[in-house]
Amino acid sequence: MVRFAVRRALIMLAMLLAVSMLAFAVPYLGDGDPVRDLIRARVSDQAIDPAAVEGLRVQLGLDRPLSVQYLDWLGRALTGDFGVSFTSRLSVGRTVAGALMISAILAVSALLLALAVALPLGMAAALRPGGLLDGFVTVFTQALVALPEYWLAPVGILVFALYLGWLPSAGWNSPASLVLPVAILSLRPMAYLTRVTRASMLDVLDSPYILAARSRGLAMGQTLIRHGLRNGIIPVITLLALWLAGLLGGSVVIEVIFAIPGMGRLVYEAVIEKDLPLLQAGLVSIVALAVLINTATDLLYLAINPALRSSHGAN
Amino acid sequence: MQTIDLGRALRRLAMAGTGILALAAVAERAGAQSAAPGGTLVVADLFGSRAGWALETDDAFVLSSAGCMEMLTRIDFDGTVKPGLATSWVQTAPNAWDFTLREGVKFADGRPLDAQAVVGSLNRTLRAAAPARSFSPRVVSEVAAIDARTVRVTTPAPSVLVPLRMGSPNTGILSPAAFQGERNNPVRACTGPFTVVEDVPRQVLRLERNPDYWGGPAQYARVEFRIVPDAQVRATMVQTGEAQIATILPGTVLRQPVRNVTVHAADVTRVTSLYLNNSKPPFNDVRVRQAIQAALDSSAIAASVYEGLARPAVGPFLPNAPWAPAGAAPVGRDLAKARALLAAAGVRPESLRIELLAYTERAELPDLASVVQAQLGELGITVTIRVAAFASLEPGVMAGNHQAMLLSRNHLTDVPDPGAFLTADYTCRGAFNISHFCDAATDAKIAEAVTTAEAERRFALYAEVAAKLHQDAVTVFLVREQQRDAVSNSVRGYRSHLFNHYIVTRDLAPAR
Repeated sequence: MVRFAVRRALIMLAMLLAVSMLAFAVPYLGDGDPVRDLIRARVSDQAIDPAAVEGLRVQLGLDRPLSVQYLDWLGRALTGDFGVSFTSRLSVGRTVAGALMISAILAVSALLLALAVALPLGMAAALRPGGLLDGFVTVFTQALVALPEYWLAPVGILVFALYLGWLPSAGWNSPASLVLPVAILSLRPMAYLTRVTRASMLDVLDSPYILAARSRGLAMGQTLIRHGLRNGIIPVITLLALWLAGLLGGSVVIEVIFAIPGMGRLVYEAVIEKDLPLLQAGLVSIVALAVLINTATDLLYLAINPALRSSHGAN
Repeated sequence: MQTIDLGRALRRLAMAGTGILALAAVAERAGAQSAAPGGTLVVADLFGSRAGWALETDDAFVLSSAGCMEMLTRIDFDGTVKPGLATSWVQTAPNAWDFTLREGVKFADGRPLDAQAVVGSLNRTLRAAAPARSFSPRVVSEVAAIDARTVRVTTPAPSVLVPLRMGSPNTGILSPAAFQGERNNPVRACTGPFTVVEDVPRQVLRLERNPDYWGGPAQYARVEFRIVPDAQVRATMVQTGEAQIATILPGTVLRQPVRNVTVHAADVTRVTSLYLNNSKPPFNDVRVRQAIQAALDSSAIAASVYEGLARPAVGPFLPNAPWAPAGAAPVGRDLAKARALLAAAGVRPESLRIELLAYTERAELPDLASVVQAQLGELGITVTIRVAAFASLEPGVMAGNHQAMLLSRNHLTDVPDPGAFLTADYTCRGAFNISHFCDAATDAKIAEAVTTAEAERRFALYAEVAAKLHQDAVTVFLVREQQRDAVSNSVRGYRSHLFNHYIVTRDLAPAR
């Protein structure tokens, strides 16, 4: 188990190193000059004074060789100092942490809502496969998977903000402003979680131990909760972890449309505004989180199911 | 068989969801009431600070348009220069202008506005690593305090544009307390009718009325500048009453009239044009350029690509600008004339193969390129389109390796005078001469204009240059764009400023 954890940690570090190198190199791979791009993002003018370009290049330390810039950045990053944003002049570490917190609130709320709907719905569908509810669940989840967020979000705003006037159109300034983005963000994971819950429960309900529990006179509800859910929930947790890793990186569409200052919008705007320190720290944080959550999930499997340890060489 | 009552569980879940929605609705209504016009004016804007409130960047325009920051002079809504923080100014030498500061003005933090404070603020902007075009060492060599109420601005060469420059938001004045850290801090640092009390990056800028404003207190008690990237959402916010003003709306938004909302469409000083490389065949021949001009239908382009929210260009400037040639008009499409011009130049249309560049930063340009391709195709000219980021096209274009490029260009980004634009774009050594146009007579006219004090004579010289550029099709000027803002009818006194210097003013008031 410890050997497995150490191996995964080393892989994770190697991945982060590779991502940080890529994040550093990508802005320089095109034909353009990142400093000219940065000035253009700050002033709405195509004609740029060459002296201003060189002045800013020196001020930002971008006149040094790329390898020197990278090693300097890496050294500071290892001490938790990601520098200062080229645009806002605020600490990159604090900016990314703030955005991450907002995306985390959004992601966790959306996944809790998705889970709250998906679990009972999936279980109910599994209880009577081929029934009316099961048919409804199939159509409902297919529809949710097919409808993109860039369509759902404007429609949600039109219905709940413009026509009904129940919710604000955008912003991140009141609990009410959370409702619409969370609801829309939850729909897709809700669909997948419902389908996985249904499939998993169907498998579990056919298991001998369920039959045994029922034959001992245990009520169906108790059987489902005590035996069915405990065993059937593992694939749901796996899927949940994947969604969490994805959503923590922010949902660009939702965050831009609803003007939410989360990770997705942060990285999107860093690309548009050529804010290299923010972009580099943002990308590294997103990848680090994804790898961390996946590693934690793998370790959790091993803890739950010792049989897996030998197949992973963890013994 | 006993079963879980899943139906009941689902009903409970639905009830809980409805409850959350109802609570949210109540909270939202309460919030909306507290933000009712008369108390708080909410502006849904596209941009917030993008450069730590550095005054040499577009951040200065945010502070100015929010009613917070003021300049020594003020470019009024009619384009004329009016007193701002300076009550008068005089050219004391060909290279020097003295500005007399308004008496009794204080920053919101209580510090007095004196010459030292003004000089400190201006010098910080002037000495920035990447200074603003309107206020850089190229055009201003020194700012100094002569006495407590007089500031002298010295230029490297005789300049008549200094009072205009001092009206640009890039020359805004903030309290010395604003310049303490890594980034400028505008909180309680302005002199305007409103003062910033809270800055939440990427979300909102909150302002309160400045009760001691030298021009008299504003009508609204508070202002919120909310940063909303999506244009449709900005427009919806005005319709729902969450905001009273939504800025910079594309043509596709609010096309139909909406109750209680007025859409203000105003010309902006931005013209989209087909820039031809005048230094190389085939466009070094004026007849070929004129043929291209005659083959293009700018009215159809304005109606189709811009969905009616642009007007055919009449040259590099707006038709009502004081420096526009008298009677300037769009060039009508005339394919017969185009064929005749090409024949006179000895060029068969079928032999012309043009690579047209368009950049991705402006979403409409690839569509426009397709329309240009189709319209020139009717003449028999083959056009291939290359779309890429501006940064990747720029080196080749500046080196003169291109044939034609579509470009949306604002000709008054720094001062309300086109001298800098003409110098950069249409003089032999211009820093942004992507037409690679070089004509000694034009150079002389532009050089004379930018040093002519008398406005009428200066504008006449600009008009002569503009007429030549248009007639010789140095650039094929296609359309002039419009900016659209949506304003709730609950607000009165809103006016669009040609250079986006002002949105919130002390004159904005709740409609009775």
